[in-house]
Amino acid sequence: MENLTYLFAAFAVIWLAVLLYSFSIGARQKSLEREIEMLKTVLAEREDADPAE
Amino acid sequence: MPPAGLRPWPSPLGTKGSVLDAGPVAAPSAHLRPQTAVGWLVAPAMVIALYAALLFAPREATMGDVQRIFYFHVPNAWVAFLAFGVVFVASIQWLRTRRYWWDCLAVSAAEVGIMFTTIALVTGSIWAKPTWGTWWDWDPRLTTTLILWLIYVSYMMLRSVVENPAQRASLSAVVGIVGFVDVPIVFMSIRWWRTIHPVVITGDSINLAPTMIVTLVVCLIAFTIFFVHLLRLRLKLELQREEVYRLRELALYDE
Repeated sequence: MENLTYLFAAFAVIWLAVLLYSFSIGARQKSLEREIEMLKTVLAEREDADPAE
Repeated sequence: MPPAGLRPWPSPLGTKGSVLDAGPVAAPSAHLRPQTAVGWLVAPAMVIALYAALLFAPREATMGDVQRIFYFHVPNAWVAFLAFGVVFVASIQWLRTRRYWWDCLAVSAAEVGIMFTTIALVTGSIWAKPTWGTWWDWDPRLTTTLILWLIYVSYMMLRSVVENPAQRASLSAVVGIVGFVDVPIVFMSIRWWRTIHPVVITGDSINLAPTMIVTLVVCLIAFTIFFVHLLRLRLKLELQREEVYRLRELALYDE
């Protein structure tokens, strides 16, 4: 029975680490996507304001 | 005038000059599709691996059910080695070609490798407590693995302190190449030195029952698929980061 506790703990660690890492990638990706959109908007607005450049 | 750390900002697209030299090309991250065959394979592969490890594999006679940790512990260590192998190759390629894509691949593989090494260390420690009666032992295999983890954590720390992108890529490439020397040392440590770590694969045989070998192979395949998927996701993130730098530079030059 005690051995099952260790087995459960090991599998919990694996899936928790994998989940946390996947969420971390997702969160960082969302933040970068927002920044890319913002920068693209800024550049597009600038181009619209001064199309000669 | 842009800040000194931002200029000249090398292009992630492979040119050595400014990003403006690259012209109006698609963003590098756009070349990576969000979902692939590998992505769809991850969940079924992991379900099969879990079934094989928990139900298909027989109960080990001496250690009991705790031995089942082995089926996930070994694949985690294997994909960590694979990840550091990718860092090694990508670092050489960066120094050879100076294409930023290789640096992005190297840092992505290093981060994923650290994650898998952490899991291998922690699951090994959890297995050791009921088996050896201790959470940790300064055994050659454990010590060299901890050193491996520290090498790649240092790799990430080095990247965070060097501001110039080209210098950062080159310095970390050297660490990525030299650090890889520890991978064969970790693998051979249980053969070169006296150890309490189990030696499953000897020169000419695998000390496991046939069903255990099948389970191990299934788990190795599942984790390799998962590694490829995670690496793709992490690489996409790194390429997006480069895209942000490129757009920032465009914004700064336009001012």
